[in-house]
Amino acid sequence: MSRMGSSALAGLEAQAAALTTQVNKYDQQIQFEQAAIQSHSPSSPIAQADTQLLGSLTTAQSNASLQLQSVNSQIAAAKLNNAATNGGTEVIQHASSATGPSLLSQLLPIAFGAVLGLIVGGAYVVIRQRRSNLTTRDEIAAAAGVPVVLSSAVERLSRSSDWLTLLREHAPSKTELWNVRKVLSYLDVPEVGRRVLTVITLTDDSASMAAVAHFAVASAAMDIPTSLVLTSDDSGSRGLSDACDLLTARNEAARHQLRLFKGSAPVDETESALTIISIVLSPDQPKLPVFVARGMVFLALSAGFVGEEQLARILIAVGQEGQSVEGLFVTNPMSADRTLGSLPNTNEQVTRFLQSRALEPWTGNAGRTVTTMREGPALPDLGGIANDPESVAAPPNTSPEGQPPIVLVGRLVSLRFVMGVLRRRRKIWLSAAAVGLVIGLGYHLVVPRSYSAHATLYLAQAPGTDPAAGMENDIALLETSAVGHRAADLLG
Amino acid sequence: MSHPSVLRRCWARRPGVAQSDNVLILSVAGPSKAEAERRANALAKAFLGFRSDRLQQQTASANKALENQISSLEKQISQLSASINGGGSSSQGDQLSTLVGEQSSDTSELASLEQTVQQNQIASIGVTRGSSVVTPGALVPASSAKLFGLDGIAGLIGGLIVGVVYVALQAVLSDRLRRRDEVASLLGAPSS
Repeated sequence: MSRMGSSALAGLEAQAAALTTQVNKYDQQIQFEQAAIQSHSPSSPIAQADTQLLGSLTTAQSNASLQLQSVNSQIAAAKLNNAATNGGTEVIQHASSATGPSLLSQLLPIAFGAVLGLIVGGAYVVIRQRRSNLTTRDEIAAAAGVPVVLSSAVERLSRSSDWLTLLREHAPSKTELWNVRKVLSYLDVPEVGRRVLTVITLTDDSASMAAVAHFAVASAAMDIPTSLVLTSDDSGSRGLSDACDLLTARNEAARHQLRLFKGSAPVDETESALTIISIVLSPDQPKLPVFVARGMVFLALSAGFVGEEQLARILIAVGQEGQSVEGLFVTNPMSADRTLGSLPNTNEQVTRFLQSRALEPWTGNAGRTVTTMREGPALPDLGGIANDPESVAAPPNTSPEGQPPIVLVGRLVSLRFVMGVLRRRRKIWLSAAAVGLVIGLGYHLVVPRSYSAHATLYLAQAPGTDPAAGMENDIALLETSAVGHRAADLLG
Repeated sequence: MSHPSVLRRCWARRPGVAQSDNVLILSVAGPSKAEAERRANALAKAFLGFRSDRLQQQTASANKALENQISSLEKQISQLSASINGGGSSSQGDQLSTLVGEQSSDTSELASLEQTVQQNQIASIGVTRGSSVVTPGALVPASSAKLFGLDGIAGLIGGLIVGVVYVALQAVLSDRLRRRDEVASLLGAPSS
């Protein structure tokens, strides 16, 4: 019985009780008046007045009785309604123990977040890729028309203490030393004098300046007396400049075999086997101080730092001063960059050379020897490989100015690359497919197959009920344990 | 297999799907064709029986309340009849008329209640007998060869995907030098 129904019923019952009392009072009054009338003469004025009063009382009692009857009917209807509502109500299936949300629903937000992150990340990468700046080594090399001779990943340094730590304490890895050795072997060696190279970096590209410092440190670590001459001062190299000032004030070397100079110090003053002259140019308004540049000129820049237009502007500025960039130092290439930064004809030479090796098995002394150094006098202290005319037979198409060695840092994953790998390693995935086929065919030998049967029921609904609501109610009943128990009993 | 919890696994989380306001389709699984059909029929029978019992119980409850009211009215009518028959003086003519009116009203209400009881019973019978199994449990048509072929194709595609993803991921994530130009570049071969 609902709360509202019970309160209404109580009100009706109170009303019925009041009406019953009223009817009884009328009844008593009527009996009293009847007795009074009988005790007087019917023609007496008192008897006439009592008779009139008796009539009024009888009418009032009749009205009260009718009202009582109506209230009693309402009470009966209310009771019937409550009985009909609650008579068939009972707990069909008691509450089972509470369980937490399913693993699927728990993982769903994570999966959704992962997919969303993938979309956002993918969009970011695509947008970044579409920027006009040159990001891969091949893009940079193609735009500059010169190959990438060194590719390195360095950290960004800002404070002078960081630069000092790099200069004094950094221990280059074997790979770093090897890469620097390859670049040094690429340098022209003057008949008189020492090796000098000029490295151009760009304003605010502190990573490339750090790459130059790494280069100098690696050279010094190979026991080559090295001087690093800083000729410019910008925000990207200010920390290094401050470190240089500090060392100069203390009259200290940065480390064994490495000294730093500032300004346009004459090369002869450095008294080093290798002098690296650092020049910083603005990518927007480049102007090369030609009186500073010496030896081979290299351009160091971070991946994605400049666009093709800016790079062309820098190269034109260098060319206008009668110099030319011989090679590129690419700093912090993208981890997905698999390109080499070599020019196309270089790739063809490499392929042709290696194919010829594959066709002509090595025959001992008569075979070809692959050298990694550019032909020319090698520095004994570099451990360079001196070419022996008797043992080295260079490929006929390989020019003496062949491209320098390239260092692989990271890979660019393109669809073409993946397709190539899939073609080469098809045995693996074909085997996996075959195994999958066998598993699929034999799966139901291990796990019994499940057959599904359907039955169709017609369910009549009680008149006066909403059929859709009735069907929902039936489906809910079907899912109760009570029905499950019955079905289990029937199955035995 | 008779335990309900075990049996519950044989049909889906929602075993019944309404086709219309009056048509319900049950789906039941089984380890064999015969067992699946047997279970579908058992579930259909159990559900119809349970539904019929519920309806009859509900009708019985309503009718019981109505019958209580009917017996109360019958008593009231008897008392009114007795009062009417007991009175005889002309001075109580008005009261007699009131009693007769009350008796008539009660009699009318009694007839209405009895009619309601009959209607409830008829409706209950109509719903119970009107609900039935239209189509007994029948297997979802599918040939064994087709299922066997589908399993094989699913396994083939699954293996293919696993293999391709493995090779692609290994290629992307590995730092090993596999191509000649990679080795040549690292060694600086083209400079010689």
